[in-house]
Amino acid sequence: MTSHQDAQAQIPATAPVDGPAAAQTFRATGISFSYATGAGTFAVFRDVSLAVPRGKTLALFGPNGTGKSTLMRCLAGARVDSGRIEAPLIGSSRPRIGYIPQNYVRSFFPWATLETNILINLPDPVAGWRANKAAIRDAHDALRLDLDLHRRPGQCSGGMLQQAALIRALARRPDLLIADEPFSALDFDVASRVRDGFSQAIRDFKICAVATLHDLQDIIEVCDLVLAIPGRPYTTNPTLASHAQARLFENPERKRRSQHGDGPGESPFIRAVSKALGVELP
Amino acid sequence: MMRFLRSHPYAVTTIVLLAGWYLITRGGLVGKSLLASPSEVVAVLADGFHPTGQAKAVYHHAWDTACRGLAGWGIALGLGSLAGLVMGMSSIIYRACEPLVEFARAIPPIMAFPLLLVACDFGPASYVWTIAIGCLPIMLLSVSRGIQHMDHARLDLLDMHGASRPLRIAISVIEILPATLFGARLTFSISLIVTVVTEMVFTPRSGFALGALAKDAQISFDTPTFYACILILGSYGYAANALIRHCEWRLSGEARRAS
Ligand SMILES: Nc1ncnc2c1ncn2[C@@H]1O[C@H](COP(=O)(O)OP(=O)(O)O)[C@@H](O)[C@H]1O
Ligand SMILES: [Mg+2]
Repeated sequence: MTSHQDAQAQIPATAPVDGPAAAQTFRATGISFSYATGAGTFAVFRDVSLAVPRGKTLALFGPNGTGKSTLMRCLAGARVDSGRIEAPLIGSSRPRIGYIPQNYVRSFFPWATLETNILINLPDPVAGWRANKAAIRDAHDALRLDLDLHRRPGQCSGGMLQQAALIRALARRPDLLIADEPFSALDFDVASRVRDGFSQAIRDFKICAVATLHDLQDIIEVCDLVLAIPGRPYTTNPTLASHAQARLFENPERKRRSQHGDGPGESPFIRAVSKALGVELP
Repeated sequence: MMRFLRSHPYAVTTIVLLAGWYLITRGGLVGKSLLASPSEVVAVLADGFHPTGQAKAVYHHAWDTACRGLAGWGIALGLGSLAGLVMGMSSIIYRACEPLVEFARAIPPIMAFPLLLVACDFGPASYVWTIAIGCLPIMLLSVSRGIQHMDHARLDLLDMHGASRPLRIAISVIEILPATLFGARLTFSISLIVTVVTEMVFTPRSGFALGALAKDAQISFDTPTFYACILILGSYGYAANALIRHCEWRLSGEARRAS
C-alpha cells in the first residue's frame, strides 16, 4: 500500500460488499495458484481477492506473463491451491460460466460449422436445440455483429473466429463471463460496435464479467473496475510480486458516459478516422 | 487444357505411363514374358466379364481376395481402435505397451499363418486373422498416438462450460476419428500386401485368390493375367485411399483450393 496513494478512485482489491448486494456479487477470496513444472512448483499468485457485482465488468490490466490468463482459468473453476470462489446463481446449483479463451482459434471443432460449435457449448444442447438457436441469434444481434455462422472454422479469419467466440460465451446467458482478451483480433468497425453491445449485454443480463484487456480504449469504454497488475519482469518470481501490488480502480470515464450517454464519437480524432473509413460510431 | 492438367496433375503421369507402356511393348523393347501389352491386359480384364471366360474368371479371384482383405482389415480397425483407445488413455499404459507393439510389428504376419491355420481348423478364417494381425500394430499405434497428441483446448472449454458426460464422450469419439482414419489409410495397403503374399504362399482351398492367380500366371508365363492382377490390386489401393482421404478432408473442415 505504498504507491498509488494519490489515486482518488483507488479502492482495495478486497472491497467489501455488504447487505443484499453480497448475494449479487461474484467473489474470489484469497485464491492462490502454482504450476507444477519439471523444476518444482511455480507460484503465479498468492492470496488474490476480488469482487465483481452483477452487471459490472472488471478489467485485468497488466503486462504479458503476469498470470492474468491463469487467474481467469481459476475464476472459471479450474483447481486452485487454496481460496474460495462464490458466484451468484440463477436457480441452478452451479454458476453458469461463459468463457472466451485467449487462444480462441484452438477452441473450435474444425469438423463443425460455427453455429454447431456454439450449439455444442450451450446448456442442454440436445433438448434445447431450438431455443439455443434463438439464443445464438440474440447474442449475435446483441453484439451488433454480421457474421455468417454456417462457415466452418477452417474457412474463417482470426477475427471472425473471435466474433464467434464472443457469441458462444454470451449465448450461454452466463452468470459469470470470463473474457481473455476478447477484442484482440477485431477490426476497428467491429470492435467499436462489439464494445458497445458487449457492455450493454453485461448490464442488461446482469452478468458478472471479468475481462483481460490491453487496449486502454477498450477499458475506458467497457469496464467499470480495473485491476491493474504492475509488471516486475526482473524479479525472480515476477508473477507473485505483481499480484501483491495489484490495485483496483474505478473507471470515472465510464461513469460519466453512462450518465451523459456519450459515445467514442466525441473525440475529434476518432471522429475523423471513422469518417475516412466510412464507419458509423455508436 | 493446360488448366485441366494443372489441376489434375496425376492425369499427366497416368497418360505418360500408359503411352510409354504401349510404345515399349509395341516396339518389342521388352520380351513378351516380362511385359504384356496394354491391349492383352485389357483383353484379360474384359474376358473376366464374359460368361465363357470362366477359366480366367479374374473377377471371381478379385472378389474373394477383396473379401478376405476387407474382413481382416475390418477386424484390425475395430480391435485396433478399441485397444488404441485403452493404450492412448494413459501415458503409463502407452509406455508399457509400446515396446511390445514395436516388437510385434517387426514380425512378418505370414509367419503366424501356420499357427493360425491350426487355430482356425484349417478354415478360411486363418487368412482373415493373418491379415488382421498384420494390420493391428499400425492401427494401434496410430490411434493411441493420435489420442496422446490430441488438442485438448476445445474439449477443456466444453468441460468449463459444464458439458454432460454423454456429450463429452460423443465429441471425444469424433475428435479421435482423424487418427483412426489415418491408421485406416496406412493399414489398408498393408492388408492388401499381407493378403496377396499369404495367398501366393498358401493357395486357399477354394482356389480363388488373386495372389494364387498371379503366382500361377507367372509360372506359366501368362503375363497378361499377371499384369491384370497387378492393375486390380492397384485400383483397390487407389480407391480405398481416395475414399478415406475424402472422409479426412470432410472432417478437417478445410476449404479446397479454388484451382
Ligand atoms: N502450463 C504452464 N506451466 C507452467 N507455467 C506456466 C503455464 N502456463 C503459464 N505459465 C507461466 O505462468 C505465468 C503466467 O502466464 P499467463 O497466465 O498466461 O500470463 P498472462 O495471461 O498474464 O500473459 C507466465 O510466467 C507463464 O510462463
Ligand atoms: Mg494471457
